[in-house]
Amino acid sequence: MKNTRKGFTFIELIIAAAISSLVLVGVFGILLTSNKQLDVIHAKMSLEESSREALFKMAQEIRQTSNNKITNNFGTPDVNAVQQTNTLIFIVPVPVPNAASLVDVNFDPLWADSIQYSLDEATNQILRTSTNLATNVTQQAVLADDVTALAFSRKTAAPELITITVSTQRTLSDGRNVPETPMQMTAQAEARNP
Amino acid sequence: MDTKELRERRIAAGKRRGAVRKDHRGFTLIELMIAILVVSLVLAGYIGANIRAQQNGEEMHERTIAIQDANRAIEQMRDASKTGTFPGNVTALYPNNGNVAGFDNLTNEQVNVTYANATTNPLDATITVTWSSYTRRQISEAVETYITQR
Repeated sequence: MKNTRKGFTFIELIIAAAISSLVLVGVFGILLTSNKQLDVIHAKMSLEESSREALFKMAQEIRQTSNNKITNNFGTPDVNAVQQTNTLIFIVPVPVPNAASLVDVNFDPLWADSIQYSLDEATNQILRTSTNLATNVTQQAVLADDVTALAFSRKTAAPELITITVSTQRTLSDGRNVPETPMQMTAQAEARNP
Repeated sequence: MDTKELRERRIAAGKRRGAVRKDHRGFTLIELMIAILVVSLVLAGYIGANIRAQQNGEEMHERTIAIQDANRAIEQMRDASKTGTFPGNVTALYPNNGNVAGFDNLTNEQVNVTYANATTNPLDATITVTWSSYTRRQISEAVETYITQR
């Protein structure tokens, strides 16, 4: 009679503790996994965002230049008549504060800024180096981080249409590479000035 | 003690013991089942939400690529508007309901061009990118734009 009135025996308590600790380990395992997954999703999104922003900025400036103001060597065309380079150098006009010149068809814009896009292999950053051709003052800015490859390509048939390809990958603090293979984003920009 | 009293006591004790044991057993079983059910429901919901979040992330990335490809097609069409008579120069290279070649960033990717009216200036163009998502679903993304001669 005395025994049946007892609530829990010591062994029951130990078993209960063991089972609940197993359950807790499982729950925390799931939480940890989902946390890691969240890190991966977040890293992918921010990579996508930063490379898209860099592509947009580069396309905006390339549109301002002219096909014959792209000064770097594009290399020999491959079998598909596509030329490719890792560094793009071109000259853009600077706006002249003269309303009449903007509507003049024979207006010769002041080609004053040389811009170079290149990949810094040491820091994995896209660098934008601009040089004022009159004053020779150089400025440098970072367009994107975590970039593993940068390429500019064009077809010999349409040299004014530049295709920009950016590959991004980030290494997280625990050593994982996100994504496993670099994420590739592409944009096209037409050098619109004649 | 007489036998009647003894028997009543025994029955009462038996009832008590039996009742206690029976209640205890039944309660723990149901408790266990409910606990397992609740825990498994919560876990299933949690894991399901996680999988869905990952799928959404992947699909978002695919949609971004699709929109970028649509913008590439638009840039190519604007490039084509430069030489010749507009809009014939664009519609000749990129006919209504035709596919634009050279896009393979997504699985089974197809870039289709339609015009509201192929002879107007500006040209009202809709670029529809269709692809097989990694969840094996067919998804499409459309971008509409006006094209004028450059």
